[in-house]
Amino acid sequence: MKNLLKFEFHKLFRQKSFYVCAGIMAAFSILSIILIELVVKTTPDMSNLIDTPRSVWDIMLGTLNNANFVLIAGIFVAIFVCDDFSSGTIKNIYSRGFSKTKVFFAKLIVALTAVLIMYFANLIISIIMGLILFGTHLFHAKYIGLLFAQLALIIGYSTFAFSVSMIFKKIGPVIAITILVPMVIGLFLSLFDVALGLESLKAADFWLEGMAARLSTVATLPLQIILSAIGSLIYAAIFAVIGWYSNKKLENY
Amino acid sequence: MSYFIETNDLVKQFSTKTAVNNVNIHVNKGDIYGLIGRNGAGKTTLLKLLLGLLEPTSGDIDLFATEKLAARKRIGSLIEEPGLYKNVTAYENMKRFSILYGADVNDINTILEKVSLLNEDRPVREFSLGMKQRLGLAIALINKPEVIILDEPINGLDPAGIRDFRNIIQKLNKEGVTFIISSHLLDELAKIVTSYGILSDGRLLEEFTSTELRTRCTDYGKIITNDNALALALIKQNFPDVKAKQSGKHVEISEGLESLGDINKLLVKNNLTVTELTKCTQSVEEYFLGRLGK
Ligand SMILES: Nc1ncnc2c1ncn2[C@@H]1O[C@H](COP(=O)(O)OP(=O)(O)O)[C@@H](O)[C@H]1O
Ligand SMILES: [Mg+2]
Repeated sequence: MKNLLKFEFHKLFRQKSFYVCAGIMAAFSILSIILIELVVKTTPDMSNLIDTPRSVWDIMLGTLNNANFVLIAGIFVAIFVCDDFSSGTIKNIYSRGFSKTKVFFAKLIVALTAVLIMYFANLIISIIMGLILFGTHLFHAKYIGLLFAQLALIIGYSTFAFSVSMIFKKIGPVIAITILVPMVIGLFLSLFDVALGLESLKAADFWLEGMAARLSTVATLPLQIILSAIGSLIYAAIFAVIGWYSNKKLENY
Repeated sequence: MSYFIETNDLVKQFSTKTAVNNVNIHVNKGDIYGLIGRNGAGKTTLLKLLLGLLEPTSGDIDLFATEKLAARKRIGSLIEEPGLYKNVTAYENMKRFSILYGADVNDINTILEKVSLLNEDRPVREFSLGMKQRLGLAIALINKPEVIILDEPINGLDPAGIRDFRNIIQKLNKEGVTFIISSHLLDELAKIVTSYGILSDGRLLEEFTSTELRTRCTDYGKIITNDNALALALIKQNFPDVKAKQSGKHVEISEGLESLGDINKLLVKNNLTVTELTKCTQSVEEYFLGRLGK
Protein backbone atom coordinates (compact mmCIF):
# COMPACT_ATOMS: atom_id res chain seq x y z
CA MET A 1 0.00 0.00 0.00
CA LYS A 2 2.91 2.33 0.78
CA ASN A 3 4.38 1.94 -2.72
CA LEU A 4 0.97 2.37 -4.29
CA LEU A 5 0.45 5.64 -2.43
CA LYS A 6 3.94 6.90 -3.29
CA PHE A 7 3.31 6.00 -6.92
CA GLU A 8 -0.08 7.73 -7.10
CA PHE A 9 1.18 10.87 -5.37
CA HIS A 10 4.19 11.00 -7.66
CA LYS A 11 1.84 10.85 -10.66
CA LEU A 12 -0.50 13.44 -9.16
CA PHE A 13 2.14 16.10 -8.73
CA ARG A 14 3.39 15.52 -12.27
CA GLN A 15 -0.09 15.66 -13.79
CA LYS A 16 -0.78 18.88 -15.67
CA SER A 17 -4.54 18.55 -15.24
CA PHE A 18 -4.10 18.90 -11.47
CA TYR A 19 -2.64 22.39 -11.86
CA VAL A 20 -4.93 23.30 -14.74
CA CYS A 21 -8.08 22.37 -12.81
CA ALA A 22 -6.83 24.17 -9.70
CA GLY A 23 -6.09 27.24 -11.85
CA ILE A 24 -9.52 27.19 -13.46
CA MET A 25 -11.14 26.98 -10.04
CA ALA A 26 -9.08 29.90 -8.77
CA ALA A 27 -10.00 31.95 -11.84
CA PHE A 28 -13.69 31.14 -11.34
CA SER A 29 -13.48 32.05 -7.66
CA ILE A 30 -11.83 35.41 -8.27
CA LEU A 31 -14.09 36.30 -11.18
CA SER A 32 -17.31 35.45 -9.40
CA ILE A 33 -16.32 37.37 -6.27
CA ILE A 34 -15.55 40.42 -8.43
CA LEU A 35 -18.68 39.93 -10.50
CA ILE A 36 -20.99 39.79 -7.49
CA GLU A 37 -19.34 42.90 -6.08
CA LEU A 38 -19.81 44.77 -9.34
CA VAL A 39 -23.46 43.72 -9.55
CA VAL A 40 -24.13 44.78 -5.98
CA LYS A 41 -22.39 48.13 -6.48
CA THR A 42 -23.97 49.02 -9.82
CA THR A 43 -27.47 47.65 -9.29
CA PRO A 44 -28.65 48.60 -5.81
CA ASP A 45 -31.83 46.50 -6.22
CA MET A 46 -29.71 43.38 -6.44
CA SER A 47 -28.40 43.87 -2.96
CA ASN A 48 -31.71 42.59 -1.64
CA LEU A 49 -31.13 39.29 -3.37
CA ILE A 50 -27.63 38.81 -2.09
CA ASP A 51 -27.02 38.63 1.63
CA THR A 52 -25.60 41.98 2.68
CA PRO A 53 -23.68 43.21 4.50
CA ARG A 54 -21.05 40.63 3.73
CA SER A 55 -17.73 39.75 5.23
CA VAL A 56 -14.73 37.60 4.43
CA TRP A 57 -16.57 34.70 6.03
CA ASP A 58 -19.35 34.77 3.45
CA ILE A 59 -16.82 34.91 0.67
CA MET A 60 -15.11 31.91 2.24
CA LEU A 61 -18.33 29.90 2.16
CA GLY A 62 -18.86 30.92 -1.43
CA THR A 63 -15.79 28.95 -2.49
CA LEU A 64 -17.89 25.85 -2.97
CA ASN A 65 -20.39 27.36 -5.41
CA ASN A 66 -18.49 30.24 -6.99
CA ALA A 67 -15.80 28.06 -8.44
CA ASN A 68 -18.17 25.38 -9.72
CA PHE A 69 -15.96 23.49 -7.40
CA VAL A 70 -17.55 20.05 -7.40
CA LEU A 71 -17.95 20.10 -11.16
CA ILE A 72 -14.30 20.78 -11.82
CA ALA A 73 -13.23 18.45 -9.02
CA GLY A 74 -15.30 15.70 -10.65
CA ILE A 75 -13.68 16.32 -14.01
CA PHE A 76 -10.23 16.27 -12.42
CA VAL A 77 -10.93 12.99 -10.63
CA ALA A 78 -12.16 11.48 -13.89
CA ILE A 79 -9.01 12.58 -15.75
CA PHE A 80 -6.74 11.39 -12.97
CA VAL A 81 -8.34 7.97 -12.57
CA CYS A 82 -9.10 7.16 -16.21
CA ASP A 83 -5.51 7.84 -17.26
CA ASP A 84 -4.26 4.44 -16.09
CA PHE A 85 -7.09 2.71 -17.93
CA SER A 86 -6.81 4.58 -21.23
CA SER A 87 -3.04 4.27 -21.37
CA GLY A 88 -3.11 0.59 -20.41
CA THR A 89 -0.76 1.23 -17.49
CA ILE A 90 -3.28 -0.39 -15.14
CA LYS A 91 -1.95 -3.73 -16.49
CA ASN A 92 1.50 -2.83 -15.16
CA ILE A 93 -0.09 -2.29 -11.74
CA TYR A 94 -2.42 -5.26 -11.37
CA SER A 95 0.01 -7.71 -12.98
CA ARG A 96 2.66 -7.07 -10.31
CA GLY A 97 0.66 -8.44 -7.45
CA PHE A 98 -1.25 -5.37 -6.30
CA SER A 99 -4.77 -6.35 -5.34
CA LYS A 100 -7.70 -4.51 -6.87
CA THR A 101 -8.80 -3.48 -3.40
CA LYS A 102 -5.49 -1.85 -2.54
CA VAL A 103 -5.27 -0.14 -5.92
CA PHE A 104 -8.82 1.15 -5.46
CA PHE A 105 -8.21 2.63 -2.04
CA ALA A 106 -4.78 4.06 -2.88
CA LYS A 107 -6.30 5.85 -5.85
CA LEU A 108 -9.26 7.00 -3.77
CA ILE A 109 -7.03 8.41 -1.04
CA VAL A 110 -4.87 10.28 -3.54
CA ALA A 111 -7.82 11.58 -5.59
CA LEU A 112 -9.55 12.86 -2.45
CA THR A 113 -6.34 14.42 -1.19
CA ALA A 114 -5.90 16.16 -4.54
CA VAL A 115 -9.42 17.55 -4.42
CA LEU A 116 -8.98 18.73 -0.84
CA ILE A 117 -5.69 20.43 -1.77
CA MET A 118 -7.56 22.23 -4.55
CA TYR A 119 -10.29 23.19 -2.12
CA PHE A 120 -7.87 24.62 0.43
CA ALA A 121 -6.00 26.52 -2.27
CA ASN A 122 -9.29 28.06 -3.34
CA LEU A 123 -10.28 28.75 0.21
CA ILE A 124 -7.10 30.70 0.76
CA ILE A 125 -7.67 32.72 -2.42
CA SER A 126 -11.26 33.47 -1.36
CA ILE A 127 -10.14 34.50 2.10
CA ILE A 128 -7.47 36.81 0.72
CA MET A 129 -9.99 38.36 -1.67
CA GLY A 130 -12.51 38.68 1.13
CA LEU A 131 -10.00 40.35 3.41
CA ILE A 132 -9.15 42.86 0.70
CA LEU A 133 -12.77 43.64 -0.15
CA PHE A 134 -14.41 43.31 3.25
CA GLY A 135 -13.43 42.96 6.87
CA THR A 136 -13.39 40.19 9.41
CA HIS A 137 -16.58 41.43 11.07
CA LEU A 138 -19.76 39.37 11.56
CA PHE A 139 -17.95 36.18 12.53
CA HIS A 140 -20.18 33.38 13.72
CA ALA A 141 -19.19 29.93 15.01
CA LYS A 142 -21.50 28.46 12.39
CA TYR A 143 -18.94 29.32 9.73
CA ILE A 144 -16.57 26.73 11.11
CA GLY A 145 -19.31 24.09 11.06
CA LEU A 146 -20.25 25.03 7.52
CA LEU A 147 -16.64 24.71 6.44
CA PHE A 148 -16.39 21.18 7.82
CA ALA A 149 -19.72 20.28 6.24
CA GLN A 150 -18.41 21.59 2.91
CA LEU A 151 -15.40 19.33 3.26
CA ALA A 152 -17.69 16.36 3.87
CA LEU A 153 -19.77 17.30 0.85
CA ILE A 154 -16.70 17.55 -1.38
CA ILE A 155 -15.63 14.11 -0.19
CA GLY A 156 -19.09 12.75 -1.01
CA TYR A 157 -19.12 14.28 -4.48
CA SER A 158 -15.56 13.32 -5.32
CA THR A 159 -16.11 9.75 -4.16
CA PHE A 160 -19.07 9.60 -6.53
CA ALA A 161 -16.88 10.83 -9.42
CA PHE A 162 -14.15 8.43 -8.34
CA SER A 163 -16.35 5.36 -8.26
CA VAL A 164 -17.94 6.23 -11.61
CA SER A 165 -14.39 6.47 -13.01
CA MET A 166 -13.35 3.12 -11.55
CA ILE A 167 -16.47 1.45 -12.94
CA PHE A 168 -16.69 2.93 -16.44
CA LYS A 169 -12.99 3.70 -16.97
CA LYS A 170 -13.45 5.75 -20.16
CA ILE A 171 -13.01 9.48 -19.73
CA GLY A 172 -15.91 10.57 -22.00
CA PRO A 173 -18.72 8.55 -20.43
CA VAL A 174 -17.29 9.13 -16.96
CA ILE A 175 -17.35 12.92 -17.26
CA ALA A 176 -20.84 12.83 -18.76
CA ILE A 177 -22.15 10.63 -15.93
CA THR A 178 -20.34 12.63 -13.25
CA ILE A 179 -21.85 15.90 -14.42
CA LEU A 180 -25.29 14.80 -15.56
CA VAL A 181 -26.39 12.12 -13.13
CA PRO A 182 -26.25 14.26 -9.95
CA MET A 183 -28.13 17.01 -11.82
CA VAL A 184 -30.79 14.65 -13.11
CA ILE A 185 -31.25 13.09 -9.66
CA GLY A 186 -31.58 16.58 -8.16
CA LEU A 187 -34.14 17.49 -10.79
CA PHE A 188 -36.22 14.37 -10.23
CA LEU A 189 -36.18 14.84 -6.48
CA SER A 190 -37.35 18.45 -6.91
CA LEU A 191 -40.17 17.32 -9.19
CA PHE A 192 -41.06 14.71 -6.61
CA ASP A 193 -41.16 17.39 -3.91
CA VAL A 194 -43.39 19.61 -6.01
CA ALA A 195 -45.69 16.74 -6.93
CA LEU A 196 -46.16 15.77 -3.29
CA GLY A 197 -46.35 19.40 -2.18
CA LEU A 198 -43.51 18.89 0.30
CA GLU A 199 -42.34 22.09 1.94
CA SER A 200 -40.45 21.62 5.17
CA LEU A 201 -38.96 18.19 4.61
CA LYS A 202 -37.86 18.09 0.98
CA ALA A 203 -36.34 15.04 -0.67
CA ALA A 204 -34.10 17.27 -2.80
CA ASP A 205 -32.46 18.56 0.37
CA PHE A 206 -31.07 15.11 1.02
CA TRP A 207 -29.26 14.91 -2.28
CA LEU A 208 -25.74 16.26 -2.79
CA GLU A 209 -26.91 19.18 -4.92
CA GLY A 210 -29.39 20.40 -2.33
CA MET A 211 -26.78 20.11 0.39
CA ALA A 212 -24.25 22.07 -1.66
CA ALA A 213 -26.70 24.95 -2.03
CA ARG A 214 -27.44 25.01 1.68
CA LEU A 215 -23.83 24.83 2.77
CA SER A 216 -23.00 28.03 0.89
CA THR A 217 -25.03 30.30 3.14
CA VAL A 218 -24.82 31.11 6.79
CA ALA A 219 -28.61 31.20 7.02
CA THR A 220 -28.63 27.40 7.21
CA LEU A 221 -29.68 25.97 10.57
CA PRO A 222 -27.10 24.12 12.68
CA LEU A 223 -29.09 20.88 12.54
CA GLN A 224 -29.19 21.07 8.74
CA ILE A 225 -25.46 21.63 8.68
CA ILE A 226 -24.84 18.56 10.79
CA LEU A 227 -27.27 16.44 8.76
CA SER A 228 -25.66 17.56 5.51
CA ALA A 229 -22.21 16.67 6.79
CA ILE A 230 -23.29 13.24 7.99
CA GLY A 231 -25.35 12.67 4.84
CA SER A 232 -22.38 13.52 2.63
CA LEU A 233 -20.12 11.09 4.45
CA ILE A 234 -22.76 8.38 4.19
CA TYR A 235 -22.98 9.02 0.45
CA ALA A 236 -19.18 8.83 0.25
CA ALA A 237 -19.21 5.47 2.02
CA ILE A 238 -22.00 4.10 -0.20
CA PHE A 239 -20.31 5.24 -3.42
CA ALA A 240 -16.97 3.85 -2.25
CA VAL A 241 -18.49 0.44 -1.53
CA ILE A 242 -20.34 0.35 -4.87
CA GLY A 243 -17.19 1.41 -6.73
CA TRP A 244 -14.94 -1.00 -4.88
CA TYR A 245 -17.27 -3.96 -5.38
CA SER A 246 -17.98 -3.24 -9.06
CA ASN A 247 -14.33 -2.67 -9.84
CA LYS A 248 -13.46 -5.95 -8.15
CA LYS A 249 -15.98 -7.86 -10.26
CA LEU A 250 -15.49 -6.08 -13.58
CA GLU A 251 -12.72 -7.02 -16.01
CA ASN A 252 -13.28 -4.15 -18.46
CA TYR A 253 -9.73 -2.90 -18.85
CA MET B 1 7.74 -33.65 -10.63
CA SER B 2 6.72 -30.19 -9.70
CA TYR B 3 6.94 -27.35 -12.14
CA PHE B 4 7.96 -23.73 -11.74
CA ILE B 5 4.69 -22.52 -13.19
CA GLU B 6 1.70 -24.68 -13.96
CA THR B 7 -2.03 -24.49 -14.43
CA ASN B 8 -4.56 -27.08 -13.46
CA ASP B 9 -7.68 -27.42 -15.63
CA LEU B 10 -7.74 -23.69 -16.12
CA VAL B 11 -10.94 -22.32 -17.68
CA LYS B 12 -11.88 -18.79 -18.68
CA GLN B 13 -15.39 -18.37 -19.95
CA PHE B 14 -16.48 -15.06 -21.46
CA SER B 15 -20.22 -14.60 -21.92
CA THR B 16 -20.52 -17.00 -24.84
CA LYS B 17 -16.92 -17.92 -25.59
CA THR B 18 -14.68 -20.33 -23.69
CA ALA B 19 -11.39 -18.59 -24.42
CA VAL B 20 -9.32 -20.94 -22.26
CA ASN B 21 -10.64 -24.46 -21.98
CA ASN B 22 -9.20 -26.87 -19.39
CA VAL B 23 -5.62 -25.86 -19.96
CA ASN B 24 -2.71 -27.49 -18.10
CA ILE B 25 0.60 -25.87 -18.93
CA HIS B 26 3.90 -26.86 -17.35
CA VAL B 27 6.83 -24.48 -17.32
CA ASN B 28 10.22 -25.38 -15.87
CA LYS B 29 12.59 -22.91 -14.28
CA GLY B 30 14.90 -21.52 -16.95
CA ASP B 31 12.58 -22.36 -19.85
CA ILE B 32 11.75 -20.11 -22.72
CA TYR B 33 8.23 -21.42 -23.03
CA GLY B 34 6.57 -20.61 -26.33
CA LEU B 35 2.80 -20.47 -26.35
CA ILE B 36 1.97 -21.00 -29.97
CA GLY B 37 -1.45 -20.48 -31.49
CA ARG B 38 -3.35 -18.62 -34.15
CA ASN B 39 -5.17 -15.34 -33.56
CA GLY B 40 -8.05 -15.95 -31.19
CA ALA B 41 -6.57 -19.21 -29.84
CA GLY B 42 -6.62 -17.83 -26.29
CA LYS B 43 -2.97 -16.90 -25.79
CA THR B 44 -3.57 -13.43 -24.39
CA THR B 45 -6.37 -14.68 -22.16
CA LEU B 46 -4.17 -17.45 -20.73
CA LEU B 47 -1.31 -15.01 -20.02
CA LYS B 48 -3.71 -12.53 -18.41
CA LEU B 49 -4.97 -15.32 -16.15
CA LEU B 50 -1.40 -16.12 -15.07
CA LEU B 51 -0.85 -12.43 -14.27
CA GLY B 52 -4.11 -11.96 -12.38
CA LEU B 53 -5.43 -9.52 -14.98
CA LEU B 54 -8.38 -11.87 -15.38
CA GLU B 55 -9.95 -14.16 -12.81
CA PRO B 56 -10.29 -17.82 -13.83
CA THR B 57 -13.80 -19.20 -14.20
CA SER B 58 -12.44 -22.44 -12.73
CA GLY B 59 -9.15 -24.26 -12.23
CA ASP B 60 -5.96 -23.17 -10.49
CA ILE B 61 -2.68 -21.53 -11.21
CA ASP B 62 0.51 -22.42 -9.39
CA LEU B 63 3.27 -19.81 -9.46
CA PHE B 64 6.41 -21.32 -7.93
CA ALA B 65 4.38 -22.63 -5.01
CA THR B 66 4.11 -19.09 -3.67
CA GLU B 67 1.07 -17.07 -2.68
CA LYS B 68 -0.11 -15.54 -5.96
CA LEU B 69 0.13 -11.81 -5.17
CA ALA B 70 3.61 -12.30 -3.69
CA ALA B 71 4.65 -14.45 -6.67
CA ARG B 72 3.46 -11.84 -9.15
CA LYS B 73 5.80 -9.27 -7.63
CA ARG B 74 8.55 -11.42 -9.15
CA ILE B 75 6.98 -11.53 -12.63
CA GLY B 76 7.51 -8.86 -15.26
CA SER B 77 5.16 -8.72 -18.22
CA LEU B 78 4.27 -7.09 -21.48
CA ILE B 79 0.73 -7.90 -22.59
CA GLU B 80 -0.69 -6.71 -25.90
CA GLU B 81 0.18 -3.01 -26.34
CA PRO B 82 2.65 -1.78 -23.71
CA GLY B 83 1.02 0.31 -20.97
CA LEU B 84 2.86 3.63 -21.05
CA TYR B 85 2.28 7.19 -19.87
CA LYS B 86 2.31 8.97 -23.21
CA ASN B 87 2.98 12.54 -22.09
CA VAL B 88 6.20 11.89 -20.21
CA THR B 89 9.63 10.55 -21.09
CA ALA B 90 10.86 6.97 -21.03
CA TYR B 91 12.82 7.80 -17.88
CA GLU B 92 9.75 9.19 -16.10
CA ASN B 93 7.76 6.09 -17.07
CA MET B 94 10.52 3.96 -15.60
CA LYS B 95 10.67 6.12 -12.50
CA ARG B 96 6.95 5.77 -11.81
CA PHE B 97 7.04 1.99 -12.06
CA SER B 98 10.29 1.76 -10.10
CA ILE B 99 8.56 3.60 -7.27
CA LEU B 100 5.55 1.31 -7.55
CA TYR B 101 7.55 -1.91 -7.65
CA GLY B 102 9.87 -0.76 -4.88
CA ALA B 103 12.92 -0.91 -7.16
CA ASP B 104 16.07 1.16 -6.98
CA VAL B 105 15.72 4.22 -9.25
CA ASN B 106 19.48 4.07 -9.81
CA ASP B 107 18.93 0.95 -11.93
CA ILE B 108 16.73 2.78 -14.43
CA ASN B 109 19.53 3.86 -16.74
CA THR B 110 21.08 0.40 -16.78
CA ILE B 111 17.78 -1.05 -17.97
CA LEU B 112 17.17 1.74 -20.48
CA GLU B 113 20.58 1.08 -21.91
CA LYS B 114 19.73 -2.61 -22.37
CA VAL B 115 16.80 -1.66 -24.58
CA SER B 116 18.70 1.17 -26.31
CA LEU B 117 16.52 3.95 -24.93
CA LEU B 118 19.09 5.73 -22.81
CA ASN B 119 19.11 9.53 -23.27
CA GLU B 120 15.85 9.46 -25.19
CA ASP B 121 14.24 12.68 -24.00
CA ARG B 122 11.12 12.90 -26.14
CA PRO B 123 7.70 12.21 -24.64
CA VAL B 124 6.59 8.64 -25.30
CA ARG B 125 3.74 9.72 -27.62
CA GLU B 126 6.44 10.60 -30.18
CA PHE B 127 8.01 7.12 -30.00
CA SER B 128 7.92 4.63 -32.85
CA LEU B 129 6.15 1.32 -32.32
CA GLY B 130 9.48 -0.43 -31.79
CA MET B 131 10.58 2.09 -29.17
CA LYS B 132 7.29 1.73 -27.29
CA GLN B 133 7.68 -2.04 -27.38
CA ARG B 134 11.23 -1.77 -26.01
CA LEU B 135 10.10 0.59 -23.26
CA GLY B 136 7.36 -1.91 -22.42
CA LEU B 137 10.06 -4.57 -22.10
CA ALA B 138 12.15 -2.19 -19.96
CA ILE B 139 9.21 -1.79 -17.56
CA ALA B 140 8.87 -5.57 -17.44
CA LEU B 141 12.55 -5.74 -16.44
CA ILE B 142 12.19 -3.42 -13.43
CA ASN B 143 13.04 -5.00 -10.09
CA LYS B 144 14.88 -7.99 -11.58
CA PRO B 145 11.92 -10.33 -12.17
CA GLU B 146 12.53 -14.08 -12.15
CA VAL B 147 9.88 -14.66 -14.77
CA ILE B 148 9.00 -12.52 -17.76
CA ILE B 149 5.75 -12.99 -19.65
CA LEU B 150 5.59 -11.52 -23.14
CA ASP B 151 2.51 -11.51 -25.35
CA GLU B 152 3.43 -11.44 -29.05
CA PRO B 153 6.25 -9.03 -28.23
CA ILE B 154 7.67 -8.67 -31.73
CA ASN B 155 4.41 -7.99 -33.55
CA GLY B 156 5.04 -5.11 -35.89
CA LEU B 157 8.78 -4.87 -35.31
CA ASP B 158 11.23 -4.69 -38.21
CA PRO B 159 13.87 -7.42 -38.66
CA ALA B 160 16.54 -5.46 -36.79
CA GLY B 161 14.12 -4.81 -33.92
CA ILE B 162 13.23 -8.48 -33.79
CA ARG B 163 16.90 -9.46 -33.64
CA ASP B 164 17.53 -7.00 -30.79
CA PHE B 165 14.53 -8.31 -28.90
CA ARG B 166 15.66 -11.90 -29.35
CA ASN B 167 19.16 -11.08 -28.16
CA ILE B 168 17.89 -9.39 -25.01
CA ILE B 169 15.66 -12.35 -24.23
CA GLN B 170 18.45 -14.86 -24.76
CA LYS B 171 20.86 -12.88 -22.62
CA LEU B 172 18.40 -12.64 -19.74
CA ASN B 173 17.55 -16.31 -20.09
CA LYS B 174 21.25 -17.16 -19.68
CA GLU B 175 21.18 -15.11 -16.48
CA GLY B 176 18.42 -17.40 -15.23
CA VAL B 177 15.20 -15.60 -16.16
CA THR B 178 12.33 -17.87 -17.16
CA PHE B 179 10.25 -16.67 -20.10
CA ILE B 180 6.74 -17.38 -21.27
CA ILE B 181 6.26 -15.91 -24.73
CA SER B 182 3.20 -16.16 -26.92
CA SER B 183 3.47 -15.99 -30.65
CA HIS B 184 1.40 -16.90 -33.64
CA LEU B 185 3.16 -19.86 -34.97
CA LEU B 186 5.87 -18.94 -37.38
CA ASP B 187 7.43 -15.83 -36.01
CA GLU B 188 11.07 -15.32 -35.34
CA LEU B 189 10.84 -15.99 -31.63
CA ALA B 190 9.94 -19.62 -32.15
CA LYS B 191 13.66 -20.05 -32.91
CA ILE B 192 14.79 -19.44 -29.34
CA VAL B 193 12.01 -21.31 -27.58
CA THR B 194 13.02 -24.30 -25.44
CA SER B 195 9.53 -25.64 -24.71
CA TYR B 196 6.34 -25.34 -26.68
CA GLY B 197 2.70 -25.33 -25.77
CA ILE B 198 0.29 -25.47 -28.67
CA LEU B 199 -2.99 -23.70 -28.14
CA SER B 200 -5.90 -24.03 -30.50
CA ASP B 201 -9.39 -22.73 -29.89
CA GLY B 202 -8.79 -22.43 -26.15
CA ARG B 203 -7.35 -25.92 -25.74
CA LEU B 204 -3.75 -26.90 -25.14
CA LEU B 205 -3.20 -29.54 -27.80
CA GLU B 206 0.21 -30.62 -26.61
CA GLU B 207 3.47 -29.61 -25.00
CA PHE B 208 6.96 -30.63 -26.02
CA THR B 209 10.54 -29.47 -25.82
CA SER B 210 12.52 -28.16 -28.78
CA THR B 211 14.52 -31.41 -28.79
CA GLU B 212 11.33 -33.46 -28.96
CA LEU B 213 10.11 -31.23 -31.73
CA ARG B 214 12.93 -32.39 -33.99
CA THR B 215 11.97 -36.02 -33.55
CA ARG B 216 8.35 -35.14 -34.18
CA CYS B 217 9.10 -33.52 -37.49
CA THR B 218 8.53 -36.88 -39.05
CA ASP B 219 9.60 -38.27 -42.35
CA TYR B 220 6.82 -38.93 -44.78
CA GLY B 221 6.44 -40.33 -48.25
CA LYS B 222 5.00 -38.47 -51.18
CA ILE B 223 3.63 -40.33 -54.21
CA ILE B 224 2.19 -38.84 -57.40
CA THR B 225 0.68 -41.08 -60.08
CA ASN B 226 -1.67 -40.69 -63.01
CA ASP B 227 -4.50 -42.10 -60.82
CA ASN B 228 -3.95 -41.25 -57.18
CA ALA B 229 -7.31 -42.66 -56.06
CA LEU B 230 -6.51 -46.05 -57.49
CA ALA B 231 -2.99 -45.88 -56.05
CA LEU B 232 -4.37 -45.15 -52.60
CA ALA B 233 -6.83 -48.03 -52.84
CA LEU B 234 -4.10 -50.44 -53.92
CA ILE B 235 -1.80 -49.36 -51.11
CA LYS B 236 -4.51 -49.74 -48.49
CA GLN B 237 -5.44 -53.14 -49.83
CA ASN B 238 -1.92 -54.56 -50.01
CA PHE B 239 -0.13 -52.86 -47.15
CA PRO B 240 -2.35 -52.87 -44.05
CA ASP B 241 0.50 -51.52 -41.88
CA VAL B 242 1.06 -48.48 -44.06
CA LYS B 243 -0.80 -45.28 -43.22
CA ALA B 244 -1.70 -43.46 -46.40
CA LYS B 245 -4.01 -40.63 -47.33
CA GLN B 246 -4.86 -38.38 -50.21
CA SER B 247 -3.27 -35.00 -49.62
CA GLY B 248 -3.80 -32.39 -52.30
CA LYS B 249 -2.32 -33.64 -55.58
CA HIS B 250 -0.39 -36.47 -53.96
CA VAL B 251 -0.76 -39.50 -51.75
CA GLU B 252 0.97 -39.07 -48.44
CA ILE B 253 2.46 -41.97 -46.50
CA SER B 254 2.87 -41.22 -42.80
CA GLU B 255 3.71 -44.68 -41.46
CA GLY B 256 5.44 -47.65 -42.99
CA LEU B 257 7.97 -45.71 -45.03
CA GLU B 258 10.19 -48.82 -45.25
CA SER B 259 7.65 -50.22 -47.73
CA LEU B 260 8.08 -47.37 -50.23
CA GLY B 261 10.09 -49.59 -52.57
CA ASP B 262 7.50 -52.37 -52.53
CA ILE B 263 4.74 -49.83 -53.03
CA ASN B 264 6.51 -48.56 -56.12
CA LYS B 265 6.68 -52.09 -57.53
CA LEU B 266 3.00 -52.67 -56.81
CA LEU B 267 1.91 -49.46 -58.50
CA VAL B 268 4.03 -50.12 -61.59
CA LYS B 269 2.76 -53.71 -61.75
CA ASN B 270 -0.77 -52.26 -61.87
CA ASN B 271 0.11 -50.10 -64.85
CA LEU B 272 0.13 -46.81 -62.99
CA THR B 273 2.54 -44.13 -64.11
CA VAL B 274 4.51 -43.08 -61.05
CA THR B 275 5.72 -39.54 -61.69
CA GLU B 276 7.08 -38.94 -58.19
CA LEU B 277 7.90 -41.10 -55.20
CA THR B 278 9.99 -39.41 -52.55
CA LYS B 279 10.82 -39.53 -48.89
CA CYS B 280 10.54 -36.06 -47.34
CA THR B 281 11.29 -34.58 -43.95
CA GLN B 282 8.66 -32.35 -42.45
CA SER B 283 9.73 -28.83 -41.52
CA VAL B 284 8.97 -27.27 -38.17
CA GLU B 285 6.48 -25.00 -39.93
CA GLU B 286 4.70 -27.91 -41.51
CA TYR B 287 4.56 -29.64 -38.18
CA PHE B 288 2.88 -26.67 -36.48
CA LEU B 289 0.51 -26.11 -39.37
CA GLY B 290 -0.38 -29.78 -39.23
CA ARG B 291 -1.06 -29.63 -35.49
CA LEU B 292 -3.05 -26.42 -35.67
CA GLY B 293 -5.18 -27.70 -38.52
CA LYS B 294 -7.07 -25.67 -41.10
N1 LIG C 1 -13.03 -9.67 -22.75
C1 LIG C 1 -13.49 -10.56 -23.62
N2 LIG C 1 -14.82 -10.77 -23.76
C2 LIG C 1 -15.28 -11.67 -24.63
N3 LIG C 1 -14.53 -12.43 -25.42
C3 LIG C 1 -13.20 -12.28 -25.34
C4 LIG C 1 -12.61 -11.34 -24.44
N4 LIG C 1 -11.26 -11.41 -24.57
C5 LIG C 1 -11.03 -12.35 -25.51
N5 LIG C 1 -12.18 -12.88 -25.97
C6 LIG C 1 -12.32 -13.95 -26.98
O1 LIG C 1 -11.57 -15.06 -26.53
C7 LIG C 1 -10.88 -15.65 -27.61
C8 LIG C 1 -9.39 -15.70 -27.31
O2 LIG C 1 -8.87 -14.38 -27.36
P1 LIG C 1 -7.35 -14.06 -27.08
O3 LIG C 1 -6.96 -14.66 -25.79
O4 LIG C 1 -7.19 -12.61 -27.22
O5 LIG C 1 -6.63 -14.81 -28.26
P2 LIG C 1 -5.16 -14.62 -28.85
O6 LIG C 1 -4.39 -13.76 -27.91
O7 LIG C 1 -4.62 -16.02 -28.95
O8 LIG C 1 -5.31 -14.01 -30.20
C9 LIG C 1 -11.24 -14.85 -28.85
O9 LIG C 1 -12.29 -15.52 -29.50
C10 LIG C 1 -11.70 -13.55 -28.30
O10 LIG C 1 -12.64 -12.97 -29.15
MG1 LIG D 1 -3.47 -11.94 -28.28
